[in-house]
Amino acid sequence: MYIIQPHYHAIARTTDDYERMAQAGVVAVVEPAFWAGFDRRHPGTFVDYFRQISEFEPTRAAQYGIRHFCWVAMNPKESENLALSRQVLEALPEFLPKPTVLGIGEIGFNQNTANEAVIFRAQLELAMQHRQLVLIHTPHLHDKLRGTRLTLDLLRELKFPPERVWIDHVEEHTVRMVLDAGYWAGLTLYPLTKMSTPRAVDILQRFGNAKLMVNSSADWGPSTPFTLLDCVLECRRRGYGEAELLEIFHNRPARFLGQNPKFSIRPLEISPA
Amino acid sequence: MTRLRETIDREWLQGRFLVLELAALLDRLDVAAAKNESAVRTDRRIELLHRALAELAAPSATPNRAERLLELYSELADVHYSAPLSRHRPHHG
Repeated sequence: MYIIQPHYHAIARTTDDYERMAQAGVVAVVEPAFWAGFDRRHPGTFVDYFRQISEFEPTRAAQYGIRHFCWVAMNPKESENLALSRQVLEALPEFLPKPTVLGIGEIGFNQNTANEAVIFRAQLELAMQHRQLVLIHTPHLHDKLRGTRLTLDLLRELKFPPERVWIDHVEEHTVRMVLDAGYWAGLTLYPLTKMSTPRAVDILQRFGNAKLMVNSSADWGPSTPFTLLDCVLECRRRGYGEAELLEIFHNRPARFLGQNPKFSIRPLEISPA
Repeated sequence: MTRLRETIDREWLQGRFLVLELAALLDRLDVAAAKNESAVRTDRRIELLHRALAELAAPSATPNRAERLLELYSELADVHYSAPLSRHRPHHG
């Protein structure tokens, strides 16, 4: 089995993850820039963070034969701080040409505030200006429906090319509107409180060959990258064949991310016997 | 903070998660039922599941829902195990 883990916060994880993921068939991880669990005060802290995920983490992953890519962005939660966000956005373009940076993400809404909207729009415009892919976070829990609608409205208004957008953390009540509008959608698996593996597989079954990717929560909170492997197992239990598993867990992320030529991992096929 | 408020704060997310899991499970059963309706309708376990849901939704004077549900599910165990027990009933005299 070949697996791409498209949403993985390596800086919050130990090398045990890499070793076990490599053993389980993970060939690449992609790390979006995110909230570190506390609000940072200095733009330079973000610059060093972007250096860590674009320069250092690929070397750590490489020790286990895993390719590491990343996204850079001002995350939705800290976007509430407009002055800090604007300083961080000034530093973003210098990271976009780096060999493992695939685009701008994760951006979007956290609590659907006016400040978040300002920084979200600025980052979408930056992405259009630099022809970048974007990864969009949608709020968790009760803010998700409204946040997803606001996100779709903004993307429509800016005429952002839908095929270059991945909207993450969709659930049963938001997945259809995202897919119907032509965007890629991501299901994020959590061990507690949010999207579970059985529910994710229900959605995969319901939407068949849609532009739907699966990723694990893997950050500093209760999370584990191995929910993705649980999902592979649950799909097998429900009768998915190897070609379908390869399509969902490797080829779909390869197709979306491969729109940036720096992501050189191509979709694979299983040869008929 | 009151004890009730503390309990709600602590349990709210997990409760939301469990109710959603249950909803998804019922959806899954509906999909299966659409393919093989008669078999699902006559399965004793489905009937018990719906009785359990009714128990959960009913007002409770005492906090013993888990106990009552386990007693309910014991009916299923009775169905499964009554036959072997009767087969191996000891003979006297």
